[in-house]
Amino acid sequence: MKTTIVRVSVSSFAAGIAVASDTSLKGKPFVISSASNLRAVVLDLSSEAQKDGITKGMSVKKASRIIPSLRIIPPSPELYKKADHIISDISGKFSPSIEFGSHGRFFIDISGTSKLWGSAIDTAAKIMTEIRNSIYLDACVGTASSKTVSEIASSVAHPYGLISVRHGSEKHFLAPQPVPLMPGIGPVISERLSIVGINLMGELAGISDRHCIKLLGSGGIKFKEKASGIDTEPLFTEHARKPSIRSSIINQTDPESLEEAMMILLRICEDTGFQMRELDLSAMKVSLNVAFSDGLVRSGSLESTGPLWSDMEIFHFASLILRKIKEEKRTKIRILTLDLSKLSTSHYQVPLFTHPSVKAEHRLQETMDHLKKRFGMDSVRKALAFAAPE
Amino acid sequence: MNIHIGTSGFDYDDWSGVLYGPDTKRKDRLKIYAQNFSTLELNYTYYSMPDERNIAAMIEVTEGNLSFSVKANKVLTHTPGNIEENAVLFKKALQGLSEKRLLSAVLFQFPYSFHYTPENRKHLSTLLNIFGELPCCVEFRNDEWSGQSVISGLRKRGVALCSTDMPDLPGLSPGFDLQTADFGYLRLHGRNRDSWWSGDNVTRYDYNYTDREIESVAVRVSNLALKNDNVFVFFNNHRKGNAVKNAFKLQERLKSVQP
Repeated sequence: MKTTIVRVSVSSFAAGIAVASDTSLKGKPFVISSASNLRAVVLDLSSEAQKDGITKGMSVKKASRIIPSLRIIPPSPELYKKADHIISDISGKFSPSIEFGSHGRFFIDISGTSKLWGSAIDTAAKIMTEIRNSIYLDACVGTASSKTVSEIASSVAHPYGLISVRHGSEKHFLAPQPVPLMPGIGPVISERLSIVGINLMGELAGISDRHCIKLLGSGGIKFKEKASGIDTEPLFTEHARKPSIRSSIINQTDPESLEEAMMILLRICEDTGFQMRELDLSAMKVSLNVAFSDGLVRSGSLESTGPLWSDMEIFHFASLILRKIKEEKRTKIRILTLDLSKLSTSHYQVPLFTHPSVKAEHRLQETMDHLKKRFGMDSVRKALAFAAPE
Repeated sequence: MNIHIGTSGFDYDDWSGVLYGPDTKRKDRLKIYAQNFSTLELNYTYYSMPDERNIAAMIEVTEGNLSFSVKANKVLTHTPGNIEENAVLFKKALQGLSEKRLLSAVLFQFPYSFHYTPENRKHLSTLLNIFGELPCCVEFRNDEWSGQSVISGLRKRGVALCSTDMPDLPGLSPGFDLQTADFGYLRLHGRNRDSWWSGDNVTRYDYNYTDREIESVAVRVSNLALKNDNVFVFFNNHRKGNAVKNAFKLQERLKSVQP
């Protein structure tokens, strides 16, 4: 059975949801950002604002100078979550095998479903229609034999449409695509490749392994293979990956300083840790993904020798990763994503012979969780997390 | 949104009993066609150069009720070399249609052998420059023409990239449902895998879409219609009148979304 993956990416997710919930925004220039903050940046924007030269990551101050009548809409995380749930339900109708990202981005493995839904292009068109009919959002969709090729196809289809790459045509499809469309390749790597005349994926696929390693390090081989259409990465479905617990925070203030980033990190550790403990789980692995305002993404992970349970234990590991990433790159951070994995279902027990401060921390955590459950996530937080900018 | 459904060609003997009566004279076929469809993809123009008189006669017979998409002659799309003289000649023949606003598009269908080479890119650019002010649509059969730069180039020129439905075979152009112009264009060639490479221009398109497949086509057409002012849909599976039967079914299915 041939593998067929559908990649769906909702264009301008936050802006689309803003229009869906307030139709007076239709056809108007507006941006999504925190209006209350002077250092706020544009998180998303309408196509009308884009036409006038406003871009994501631009300061709201500058954007308002370009369009004085610009409307600034605050982000609605609750609505985004709801929309993601609806999209998840729609995807679930077509296949049980889904790798769900956030903000309307996901992969669906539709292999073997043609008798139910038709060919890849037919299925993809149906998914697009269902999303449109349910939540009035436009999607870019790519179908192909792998995650990478389907993701690139959906990027080429941007801002709206569908591209269905045939089995066996992956290499030809990828060859003329610009290198920056490759997932994981940011502006720095693109520039490095461009200097030596590699601008298209076909050119990247054509270099020798030795040359590739010299240019990009040993990790570069992975990109070279992907540029040739070789990608065997499976979908990380909820079922396949064991439950990993993930939370993201989109920064509206672009923390440059490590201290400010740490405050935000603690906040996200509290949110993720709470979710984990609600499921009676503890984690052995902490992964952090940092998206910078220049588009580059850095990630790291650490494994513990024992189960991590409290927010402060998780924060300890996450902060080590963040510190290392920030040492290498000092650009402003836009999105922080924390993943807790290698989860254990056995309920965490405080060791019998342990330091009293650990027991106290454990009790404090239980009390905080109890309060959060009753009065909401923001009812109680560590002082440092409260100081994190909204 | 306006969805226009038709077929590729109309003058087929094996459409007797499907669209035409057994005694229908050949000269009456176009008139009958125009009573049933709002648009037609003229494909005789691929084999022989059209002339103004011929086109004028077609407009007269159809009383201005039928819009035409005209397939570019093979000397423009299937023959390398100097095309400018023939392109100007071909364009001149379309003047009447253009003036009467009955020209849906000029369709440039390039063969599988038309690779993504600098010469062919120049060839395409020359053609699009000559036909610039007319609505143009480009259909590639080769999968090498799927780069982002090709799509953005067509978008800049306002040229439609043809959406197609054909068998899922390696090497063939990807399925595209994109907006690159102010109109969308879908050609349905059938899904006959077995005779796609080995068959001739009759057996290759010998296919009858099932009701479920028509339903899927309707979904694709509706998606295209969301972003395009006009969408033209042509069934090219002409053998045994299948194109007509399928076009009727699609018309029926899309009745509810038409204004």
